[in-house]
Amino acid sequence: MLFPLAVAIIAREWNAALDFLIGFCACLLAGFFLVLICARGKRPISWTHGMVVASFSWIIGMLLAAIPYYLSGHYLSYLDACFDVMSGFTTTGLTLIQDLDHAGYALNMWRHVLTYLGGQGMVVFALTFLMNDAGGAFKIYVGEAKDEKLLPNVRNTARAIWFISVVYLLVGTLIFTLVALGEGIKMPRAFLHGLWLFMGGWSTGGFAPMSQNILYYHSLLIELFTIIFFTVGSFNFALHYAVWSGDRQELRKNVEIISFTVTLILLTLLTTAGFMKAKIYPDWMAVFRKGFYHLISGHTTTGFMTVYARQFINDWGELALLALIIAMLIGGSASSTAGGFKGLRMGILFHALREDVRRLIRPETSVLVEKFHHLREVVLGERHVRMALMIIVLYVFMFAVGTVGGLLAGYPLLEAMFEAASVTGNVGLSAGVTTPATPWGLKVLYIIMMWLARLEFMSVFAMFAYIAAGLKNR
Amino acid sequence: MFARLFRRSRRRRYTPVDVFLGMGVEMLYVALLIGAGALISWLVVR
Repeated sequence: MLFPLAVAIIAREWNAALDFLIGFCACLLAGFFLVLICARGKRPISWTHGMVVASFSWIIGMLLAAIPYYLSGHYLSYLDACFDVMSGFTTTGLTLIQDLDHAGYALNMWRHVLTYLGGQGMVVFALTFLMNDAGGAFKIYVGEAKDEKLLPNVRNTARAIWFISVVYLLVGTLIFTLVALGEGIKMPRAFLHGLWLFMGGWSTGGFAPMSQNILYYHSLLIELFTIIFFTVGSFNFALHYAVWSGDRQELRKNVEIISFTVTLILLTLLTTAGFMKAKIYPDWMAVFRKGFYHLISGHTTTGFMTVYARQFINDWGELALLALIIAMLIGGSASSTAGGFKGLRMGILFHALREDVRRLIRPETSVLVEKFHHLREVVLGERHVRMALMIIVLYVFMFAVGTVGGLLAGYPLLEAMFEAASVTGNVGLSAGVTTPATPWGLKVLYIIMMWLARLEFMSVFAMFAYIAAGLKNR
Repeated sequence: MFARLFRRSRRRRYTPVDVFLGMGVEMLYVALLIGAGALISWLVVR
């Protein structure tokens, strides 16, 4: 909170500065009490502890980070403020903020810093800058749904992730700033919009500084660069590390990239077919800028929009919407800023299916070894397939629960499904269901869904099991 | 000094040139995806 506080002071937003100062003091107090209650000497951190710390820290972080939001007056309730914080942390991008177009620089900076931090992972942030002792750190790191070790030491892995993100931050901010200047936006807004567009894109969060999102700019260049940076941001950090270390062939061989490419092309065909059926866009450029843009925005779980929310339901037609819903559920790459059940699992299932088909047609006595390439050659095993199926089933189940929640709140089926897919995949595209007028029960459900999806269920389940075991033993 | 741009150390597996080329390759891949999207849009609408 010190960073937006500094921005508030520089921009002379004294009310905002006070809000962040109060929030900062609340964080210090909360941290002090947590240390008092929980610090009981050095104990080894088990896998359970790691998952509980990872999942619980997101809830504590949400409650604290919502304080400046609520004090700003841009939220109708503290629940709405918590919703936006969880949306930022989980890089979803759905927002309940009121009058965003007149939000100050400090508030907008906080929104985008939250999503940028959330994309890296708060545990990664803590490992990089705050923790001295790396003992048990890997268990907490895995608890945040990251299991790729870029380097042998998890602290160095966290630093490598930050190095990649910061290098792209510098390059991306420069490019967006120049494009914004070219579009007629003056300094310092051009720089700030450039920075925020990059943060919202790279983190695949989808927050933008204006209420119309990317539509505000009416700029093909901004749309193209946002596609580049949010797609690159949806890549696995281990993939970035491999490519940057000289193994550029990894981009061609990696199962996640292949899976993403295939599903994107197939769904693009489906979406454009849907548009032709619905006859809504007059030419190929409109189909590309509205259709492909939202499809890749949804598939990478970014959530940048160049249409108004209601246009999805009113104009798109069911076929194109179905393609978008599928894209949102599949999502991006594992160990990245993206959500969804991930292209890696789609790739594993494809290889499992291929293995079964080959087993059927080969002689019974032949030995069959199915492999897939993910940073190295991996022999496909029962464990991979089981984990992939389990996570996909959990995501689909949560999507169903979200849809039912939307229906119970009174929304039509297609809108309930669209919003549930957006929340489940941590996407952020909206059909107009997520507004300040949404029933509070649905907001709470969506908060829980965003949290579960971002941490890929296991840490949260471990946390509840730990609490239940603790209560049972009393 | 120029040679340091290409030299890998034990501590860091990537050189500045690797980073530059890596970023370029990643962005090129996305540019190809954009091209594919534009091509599909054009082919279907035509």
